[in-house]
Amino acid sequence: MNKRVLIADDEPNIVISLEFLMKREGHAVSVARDGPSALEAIRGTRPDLVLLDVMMPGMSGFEVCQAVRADEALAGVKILMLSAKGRDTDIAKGSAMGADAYMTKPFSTKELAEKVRELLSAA
Amino acid sequence: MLSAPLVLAASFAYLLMLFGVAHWADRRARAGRSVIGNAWVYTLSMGVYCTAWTYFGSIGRAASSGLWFLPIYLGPTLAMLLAGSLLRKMIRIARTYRITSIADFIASRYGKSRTLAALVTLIALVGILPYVALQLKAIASGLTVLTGTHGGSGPWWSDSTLYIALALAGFTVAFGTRHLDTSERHEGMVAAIAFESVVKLLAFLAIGMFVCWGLFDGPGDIFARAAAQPALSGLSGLGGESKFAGGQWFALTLLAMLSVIFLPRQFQVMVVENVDERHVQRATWAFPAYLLLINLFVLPIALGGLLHFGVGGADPETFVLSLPLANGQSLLALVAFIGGLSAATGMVIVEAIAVSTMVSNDLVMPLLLRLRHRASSDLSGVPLAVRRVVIVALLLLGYLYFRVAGEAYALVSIGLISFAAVAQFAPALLGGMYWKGGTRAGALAGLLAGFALWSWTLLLPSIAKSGWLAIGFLTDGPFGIALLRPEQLLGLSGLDSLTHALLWSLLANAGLYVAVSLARAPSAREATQALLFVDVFQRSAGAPVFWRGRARLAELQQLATRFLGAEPAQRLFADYARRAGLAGVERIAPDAQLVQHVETQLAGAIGSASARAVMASVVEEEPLAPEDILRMLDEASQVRALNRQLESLDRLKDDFMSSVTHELRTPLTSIRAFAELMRDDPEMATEQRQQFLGLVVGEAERLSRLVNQVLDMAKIESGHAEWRNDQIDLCELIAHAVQTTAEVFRERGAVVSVQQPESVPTLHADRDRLLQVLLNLLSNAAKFVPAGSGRVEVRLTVDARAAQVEVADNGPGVPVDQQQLVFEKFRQGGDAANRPQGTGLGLPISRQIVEHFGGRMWLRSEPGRGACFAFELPWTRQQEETGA
Amino acid sequence: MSERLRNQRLLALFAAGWGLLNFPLLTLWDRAGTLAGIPLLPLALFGGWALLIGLAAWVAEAPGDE
Repeated sequence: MNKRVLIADDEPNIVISLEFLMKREGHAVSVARDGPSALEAIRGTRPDLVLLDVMMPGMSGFEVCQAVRADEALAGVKILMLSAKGRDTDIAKGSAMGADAYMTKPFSTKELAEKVRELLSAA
Repeated sequence: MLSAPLVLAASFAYLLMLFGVAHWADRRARAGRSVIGNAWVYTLSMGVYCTAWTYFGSIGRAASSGLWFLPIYLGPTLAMLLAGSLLRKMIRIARTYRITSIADFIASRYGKSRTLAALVTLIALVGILPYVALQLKAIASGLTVLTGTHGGSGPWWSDSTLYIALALAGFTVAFGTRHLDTSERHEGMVAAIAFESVVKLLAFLAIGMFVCWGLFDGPGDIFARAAAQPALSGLSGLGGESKFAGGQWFALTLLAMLSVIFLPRQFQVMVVENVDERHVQRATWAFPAYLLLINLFVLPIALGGLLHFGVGGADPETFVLSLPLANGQSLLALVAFIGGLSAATGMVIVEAIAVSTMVSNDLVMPLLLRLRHRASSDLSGVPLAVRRVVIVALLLLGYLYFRVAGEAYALVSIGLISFAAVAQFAPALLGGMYWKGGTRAGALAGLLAGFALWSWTLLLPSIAKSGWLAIGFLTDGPFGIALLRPEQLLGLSGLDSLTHALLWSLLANAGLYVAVSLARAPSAREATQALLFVDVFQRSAGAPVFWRGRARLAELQQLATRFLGAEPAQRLFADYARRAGLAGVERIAPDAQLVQHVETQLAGAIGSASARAVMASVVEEEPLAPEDILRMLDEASQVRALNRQLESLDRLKDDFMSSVTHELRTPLTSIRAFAELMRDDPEMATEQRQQFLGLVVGEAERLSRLVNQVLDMAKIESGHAEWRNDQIDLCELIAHAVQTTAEVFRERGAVVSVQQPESVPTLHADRDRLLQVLLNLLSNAAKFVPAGSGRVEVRLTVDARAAQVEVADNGPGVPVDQQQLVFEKFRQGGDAANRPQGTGLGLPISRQIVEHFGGRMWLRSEPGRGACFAFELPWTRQQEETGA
Repeated sequence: MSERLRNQRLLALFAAGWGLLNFPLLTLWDRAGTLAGIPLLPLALFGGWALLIGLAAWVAEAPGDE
């Protein structure tokens, strides 16, 4: 599989680990470090999947997700939200915003890879 | 001998006086100056426990078995010792959930079950009837002795006892059923009861003193003479012939202990009529003192009578009358009769009111509602009418029982049979107050079993012994089965019938209660009621709201009108609107709270079980799952009771917690991810591995720094930090701090200069903590100064009041809108891309430290022109609390 | 005294009362003999009873910490 994945997270080390993981899976990776640039990147490059962190400066992950889903043209972009918050209400909020999946940090790399594969194969 | 008209006239005069007292008290209550809001009145009202049985029965029992009358009064004494906790809990529960009778109490605890309410009412009714008859019998005997006419025999229409019974019924109706008070309080009645407690005590003491010092030379004389006669000498002892004597004494004490709480009249005066919980404290010892006083002369009177008339000369039960009469003291005899009458009327009035309330709320109204639930007829007059009918019926039935069965059986036994009946409430009620596991099924099973065994072992034998049933089943067992003999069940012989009955009935009752309760988990409704009852002291603001559904205001108003009457209903809604601050009744939102309120008011009129049923018919209720109910309970008790400040503090705490967990999870995420990546790829390039490992170490360090700071923060904020205060030289401290951070500044190519006065007074504070603050400010400055050309200035100034330290840097400064934010937890300046290693907690902690010493910290900055963090510390501070 | 202490003391009195005013301790007094003209057993019973009430009064009426 060779898809385009955008990693949106403000924590540099997490970005490094996600980048490594996605590259290992054979995808092309691009990075955004805050909300606005994430949205811009999505609009610009139309990635197949976005690994979207919730807590980001500028715009929260939820807001980005909402904006993407509001845009018809971006319907093909899958969104996997990542957050340190794992309460049911937050997960529900994520799905309500239109995320395709929600994973809590710290995540298992195996599970994340699994979920990514799942999302990208159901094209 | 006195003339019958005289006695009757005196009796009615006394009743009128009681009426007057009650009327006066009611008027005072309406004027807002209640006379019963007094611990002594409360205590005296409990004296209703002493009925005509005390006047006649005790003496009779003392005359035949000596001190065996005493456990009936020792039991209540012991019970009152527990009053502080037990009684108060009952009062609190009753007050909070508007419980108006013992049937209501039990039914409410087990999920507002109408079946339980009806069962308890029936048991109470059946149990109390003989006791009422006993009072009438006592009056009849008294009349006989006093006047020579035979009260209690002859055609019923000429039986003065009947007229006294009717008079009592009228009196009770007049004072118990004037209006429907949703709290079921009867101020007039309580005042009258307290008054008559005084009357009967004084009368009894008068007789006692007369017998001791009028007929003999003091109690010593009586005892000496009794000891001289072999027939009487045993009466001062325990007469321990039976090997079960100990058990019997114990059983009697236990029985009395339970009865003093569970007799409907006791529950009424102790719980329902209680005005102030704190009165219980006085009653704890004052009521036993009353009991002691009234029993002081029982044994002397009994012995004196036996000595005077000889054994078998006269009926011991009427010694209080026959002794004065036989010695020419007619007035005293009349006084004694009035005392006995007083005791009897007190019991009858309170008992009748209590029982009629139960019958109305828990037997009749539910039936009526089931039959006519669709009709919108006005039922507001019905509860009162029902009560009146029940009171009259109760007295008439009591009279009937007395005529039919009262002769054959001594007074003594009848009273104890009633005690044993109400004792059956004990497992369900006491269990319900302290054990959350008690279920409705358990209570039902226990009550049914207890009642059944009571009937079998006590009631039926007593009827048989009065000649109304073939005695065969008593001696040989039913159908000849010896094991089922009512007074030697399963072969247990040697016990007197009361102890025997008590043993079996309570054993079965309690046993089944526990066993059946444990057999199945409580339902959602039962569990919540259990919580409300058992934990009543832990919950504050009243009963929470359980309704979740919709109702229409008009329907609620109709309902209220139907059961309370038009005017009370209007008042109810008007009050509610006013308290909610609404312009008018139409504005009231028919929400759960209103529904709850209306239901509570209705419960006062028709009982809580019926009220709930009736409300259910108009409210579209959404079924509540147990978790919902528990959540509502939680919300209701916590949120409503706490003030808004506490609420917002809670929110702050939650924010902090979620920030902390978020901050902790972030480094953990990297650590885990890198570790897994390295594990899953054994072939990873060494360089890559080294990079990752380096990052892992870095994040681990970050994590532990964070944890330490969070702990620090928590300790300081909660006041648990340790402060070691000392005399500090600020100059020296600043120099130390600068030296410590010298390396960091050198690396960034920055210069630090220090400005301070010549001499500085010493400051009393914690050196390490202040050093922490300085290091924090300096390292922040180091992070933000431009590389190569950074300049940091540390300025110390002092004045009479305080010392001020400034740390100014020439970095980018802080934008105005962020200047407050930097002091908040987990906020960091700068942008994320080049955020220096930090936790975001340094400044908040520093500020806390400074504020702990009575100072303050602030930021002055213009964007582009650097930032200056400053703090001041007063020389002397008002310490709220020192941790040192 | 605190409410809890008060209740505990009353509970102790309760237990003491059961012990003192019941068999078998009661039978100790069931002997011939009088004190001030009053036979031992009635005296013991009423005396013990009065003592219990007195102690209860002392515990119940002590000012609590509001």
